[in-house]
Amino acid sequence: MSDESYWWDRTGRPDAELQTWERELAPFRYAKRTSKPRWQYAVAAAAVLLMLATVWMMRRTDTMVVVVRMEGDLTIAGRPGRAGTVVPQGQRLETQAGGRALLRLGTLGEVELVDEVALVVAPAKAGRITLRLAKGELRARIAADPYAFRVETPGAVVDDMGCAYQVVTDPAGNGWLRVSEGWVRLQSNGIESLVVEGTEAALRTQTGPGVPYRKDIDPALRRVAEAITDGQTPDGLALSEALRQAQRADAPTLLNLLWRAPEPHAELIFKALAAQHPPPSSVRWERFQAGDLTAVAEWWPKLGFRKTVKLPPAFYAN
Amino acid sequence: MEEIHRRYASFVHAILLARLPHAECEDCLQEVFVRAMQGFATLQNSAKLPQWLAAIARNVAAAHFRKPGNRTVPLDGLPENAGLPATREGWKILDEIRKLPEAYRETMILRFVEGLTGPEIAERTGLTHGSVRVNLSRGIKILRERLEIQK
Repeated sequence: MSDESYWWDRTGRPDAELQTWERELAPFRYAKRTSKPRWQYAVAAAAVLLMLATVWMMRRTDTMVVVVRMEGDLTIAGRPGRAGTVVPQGQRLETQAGGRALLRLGTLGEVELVDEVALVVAPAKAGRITLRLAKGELRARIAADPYAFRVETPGAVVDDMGCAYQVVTDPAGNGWLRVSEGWVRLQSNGIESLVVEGTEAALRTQTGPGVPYRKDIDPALRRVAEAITDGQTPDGLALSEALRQAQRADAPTLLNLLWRAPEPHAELIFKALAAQHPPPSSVRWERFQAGDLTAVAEWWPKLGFRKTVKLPPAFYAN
Repeated sequence: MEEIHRRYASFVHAILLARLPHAECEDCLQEVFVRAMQGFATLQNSAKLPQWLAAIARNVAAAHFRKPGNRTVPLDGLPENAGLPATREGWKILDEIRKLPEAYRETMILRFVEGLTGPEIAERTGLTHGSVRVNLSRGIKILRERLEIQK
């Protein structure tokens, strides 16, 4: 039997059988090419450059944030704003208690600011808009490519995936997000939530984005979702009870729990979700166990979500 | 892109070799990097580049099988390409690796075909050291058993 460190990093006592495998399999190894890349690379590179130039030209004027209408006072960098005012990058926009304002986001969509709001139009890549929401309620309706519109809150970064949603942040930086159409991605410090229509998630400065759930979710499942959101591990009995109460419509919650729960729990969650929404044969527990999130992309169309849209790169690509 | 190709070609090759006949891997590998170049602007987080390339490679492999005439992989131990200087023993070992559970297959090829160490596999795939260690440990155990049975 081999010394484990040999097959791990070749530092230990060699194992004759493993050395045989290495020798016999060596002919299949990728043979490094010294020639220049094939002509397809040059064509592809030229096409990409042309496309990027075209997109850049088209989008230069597409990301202007403009006040369309307002009720009550609105200030930009401390000066009064009015309908038609452009909100410059880096300037703080504020509405007063009881006020409302509608902002047009270039050709990406629009946001309505409700009550007492403070935000800044933050720097963003060409063709994109990022709003930094310090406090207040923002209702977004976006018709743009995924990731074109982003809201940064103290609790999480909200990436739009083509949808309508409501996000609220209190002065301490905590809040919540509710999606009414499509879905959004939340992320903070490596923690990620996918929030689909009909569900809502907490935004917390200490623990990041919450596990999303339906408003009328069973209390047992809600307690488990909140425990995971808080970084706690629910006990096995509580999880079993919660999974018994889970309905088909709770697939978004189970899916988020699946990649956030510790392993023994995650396997139970996988089984519960698979019982309600049988996955394709290629999607097996071992893939999640190995951290292969591309399995989510394969399962996604069968989970009952209305839209099939592009998942973040960690889940899928191309 | 040349630097990315230099750094990740063997990694992408392993993912393809886990799924495709050896003779098809070179062309598919080129296709993966052409697609990567075309889609590079959509990559949100450059830290996820290896996982992104891996996903493209899996897509290219899947697309390969959707083409008429490409629906089967020779997994019966018969040589796919007599032009390679591989022995019958080598084909047999590769064949058995391809029959391993999916979670172990890529890791085993990265280790024993492409010659990466466990830490290098973790770095390329984005898996934790623990997951790579489990995949290798279990993959080696199963492979030993299956090859032993054939002796």
